[in-house]
Amino acid sequence: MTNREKYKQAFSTLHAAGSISWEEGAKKSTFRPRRRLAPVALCAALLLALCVSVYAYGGITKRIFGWGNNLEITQETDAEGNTVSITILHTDALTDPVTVTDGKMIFIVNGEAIDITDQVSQTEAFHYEYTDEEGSTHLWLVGLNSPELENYGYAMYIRAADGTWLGGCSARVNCKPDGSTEAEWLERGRAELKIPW
Amino acid sequence: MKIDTGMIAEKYKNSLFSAAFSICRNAADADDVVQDTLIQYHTAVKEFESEEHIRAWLLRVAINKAKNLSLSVFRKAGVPLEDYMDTLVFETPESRGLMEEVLKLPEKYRIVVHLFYYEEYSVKEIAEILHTGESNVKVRLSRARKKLKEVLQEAWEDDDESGKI
Repeated sequence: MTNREKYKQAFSTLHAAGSISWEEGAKKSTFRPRRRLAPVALCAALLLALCVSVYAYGGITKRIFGWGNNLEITQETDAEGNTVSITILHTDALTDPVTVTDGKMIFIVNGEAIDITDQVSQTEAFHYEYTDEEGSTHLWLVGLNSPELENYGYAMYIRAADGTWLGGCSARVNCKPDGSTEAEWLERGRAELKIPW
Repeated sequence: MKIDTGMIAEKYKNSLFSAAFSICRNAADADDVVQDTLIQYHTAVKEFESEEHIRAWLLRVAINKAKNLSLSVFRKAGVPLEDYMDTLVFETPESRGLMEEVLKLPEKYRIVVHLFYYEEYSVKEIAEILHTGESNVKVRLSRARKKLKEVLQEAWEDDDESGKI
C-alpha cells in the first residue's frame, strides 16, 4: 500500500456533519448566519485586566475570564510567561442578548429588558453600553442581517476605564477573510464608535 | 460555469471537512468552515472555468478560513481531539496512528501533506492553491515526510527516495 493509499484510508474516516445549515436555493439575504462566535480582535496581554480568578498547577497558570453573557475564556501561561493555550469554554451556554417574540425584539443585558424593535435595521445598529464596577465600559451593537427580525446579529466590546479597547466579538454575522463583516449596521456602528477592529 | 451549490455541497463537503480538520484539528470548527465555504461559493459572483477550478477554489477558501480560525482567540468549545478520534472508525490501527502523527505536524506541513496525499494535487498545483512557490511546497513536503518517517517508521514509505514528488 502506498503512502497515498494509507493517507486516504486514514482521512476518509472524516465526514462533515450530516446536516449542514444550508438552505438550498436561498438568497443571500435569507442565509441564517452561524451562531458561533466569530472573532473580531482581542489582545491577549490586555485580557489580564479581565482576570477574575487565577490558580496554578504543574507550572501552568490558568486564568479564567468572564465575558459578556456566560462566555468564558481560559488562558494558560507557562512558567516563562508564554501563552500556551487560549480556549472558549461554555459557548453553548452563551446567552443571546436579544430575543424575538411576537414581532418584538427585546434586548436583555445587565438586568435591563428594552424593546428595540424600532431601533434596528440593516444599516443602523441599536447601541447600548454600561460601565461595570471596575470602570470598564461594555458596548453592544445589535442590527439586522436581513429585513426579518429573526435574522439579527450582535457584537459586544469592552473598553477599559483608561479608554483602551480590550477586545470584542461578534455573533450571528458573516465575517470576511479580512476581518470585516458583511453586516452594514455593524461596520457603520464600529466606525461611528471608533472601535478599532 | 457555476454548478448548483447543493450538488457541490454533496460532492465536496467531506473533502472540505477533511482539509479543514487537518488544519483546525477540531470537528466543530471544521464543520463551520465547510458551511462558510459553501455559503461563500453560493454567494460568489464568479465564473469558474471548470469543475476542477471550482474544487481548487473551494479548497483554497476552506484552507484560508481554517487557518484564520486556528489563529483566532475565540474558538468553539468542542470535543477534545483525543475524544473525537475515539469516535472515528478506522480500518486499521495504523490508520489512526497515521492521522495522529499527521495532526502533530506543524500546520504549514499539514496543509501541504493533505493536499498532496489526500487531494492528489501536484507540487505545482499546491503552490497555486496556497499562493506560494513550488520550492516552498517541496521543502515543506520533504520535511513533513521526514518527520512522518521518523515516527511511523516502516508504516511510512520513504517517498523522497522513490522520487514521488
